[in-house]
Amino acid sequence: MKCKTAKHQMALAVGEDLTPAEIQELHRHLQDCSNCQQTWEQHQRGFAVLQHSRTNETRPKSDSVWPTLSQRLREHDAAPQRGEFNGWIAALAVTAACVVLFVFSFEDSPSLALHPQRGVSSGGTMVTSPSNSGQTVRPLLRRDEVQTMRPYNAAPKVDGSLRDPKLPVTE
Amino acid sequence: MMTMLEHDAQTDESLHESSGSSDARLVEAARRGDQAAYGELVQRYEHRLARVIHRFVHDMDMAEDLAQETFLKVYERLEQFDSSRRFGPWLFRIGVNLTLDYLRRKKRRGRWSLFTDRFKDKSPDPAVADPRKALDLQQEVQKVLQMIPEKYRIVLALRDLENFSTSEIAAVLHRKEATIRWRLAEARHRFQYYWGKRHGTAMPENFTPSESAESKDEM
Repeated sequence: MKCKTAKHQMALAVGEDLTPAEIQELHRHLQDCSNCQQTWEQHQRGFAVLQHSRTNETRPKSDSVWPTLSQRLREHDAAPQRGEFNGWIAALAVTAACVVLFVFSFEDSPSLALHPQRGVSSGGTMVTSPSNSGQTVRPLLRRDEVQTMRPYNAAPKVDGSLRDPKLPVTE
Repeated sequence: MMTMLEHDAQTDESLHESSGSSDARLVEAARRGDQAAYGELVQRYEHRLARVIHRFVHDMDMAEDLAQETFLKVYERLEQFDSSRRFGPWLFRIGVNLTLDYLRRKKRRGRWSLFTDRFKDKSPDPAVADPRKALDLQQEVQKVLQMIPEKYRIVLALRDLENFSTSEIAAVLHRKEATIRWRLAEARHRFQYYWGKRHGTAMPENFTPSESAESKDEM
């Protein structure tokens, strides 16, 4: 055993915190090492101080906390407990809100789901979603609507007719 | 709250339950709402808990208040208690943690007051013996204990002053027993070192408390 290890073991041995085997090993080291013997005596003195202080100690003795504590526990039990967070209620509320939003959004745009027959009007300009082509075909404008549509660069409508975009603007 | 002083016979209590109903049965009954059962648990442990807390706060009224807070917290957490484990270490762990939290808050307030009470008298260096004042043994031991870092001091106080076993301390502090043994050895070294320094007695050779020891014990 090295002296460093012996010093660590001595600190434990002094309070009887070593196994019998460890004590024997330490004992063998102490027989051969005068330095460690000195340290061992000092450890014993230090430990004796602690033990002496403990045995002569005047300790305050407390009254029982139970009378006060039992009153506090009764108050604690009587107080309304804050309900724990219920995930199911929150999930149901969110689902219900989504359903309501879904229904109302379709009521506002009848051309979509509520009137699918408008999507197959003859000659209409169709917009087809690339993700589900052939399934949801949404009519944007009917042919007559397309014909009356102003070109993108047409001048503002002034007298109810459309200005020819090829004519120069003289105003 | 009234306190009275008396010489305390050195009882060799342990955290194992004493006679009567087992802790586990009382905990089960308390969980079902039997307050009398919880009362029995409280009365079984309260004096030792208050004594342990008093080791750290040195004020019996505060120790009783903290013990009461501990029992209240334990009552609120009874559902979380693992019945396959012992109740005592669990209770003391909550009590010690509560006490350490209190001391840390107090220390922070103390630091703040250093700035607010700028002209307060400086406290004497505890490492230097004060010849004007003859402190009795307990006070002197207490002063030396205060010089030991908290994590070692707790182990020393629980083992050498409150007679907990190293396995009980391990359960209370939620550390491996090997760690507790390391800290105990280090704490005893440090106690002897500072005691020798204050009283001019020989110190263990080649020993000075080092910060390197702080990292070694995190096993």
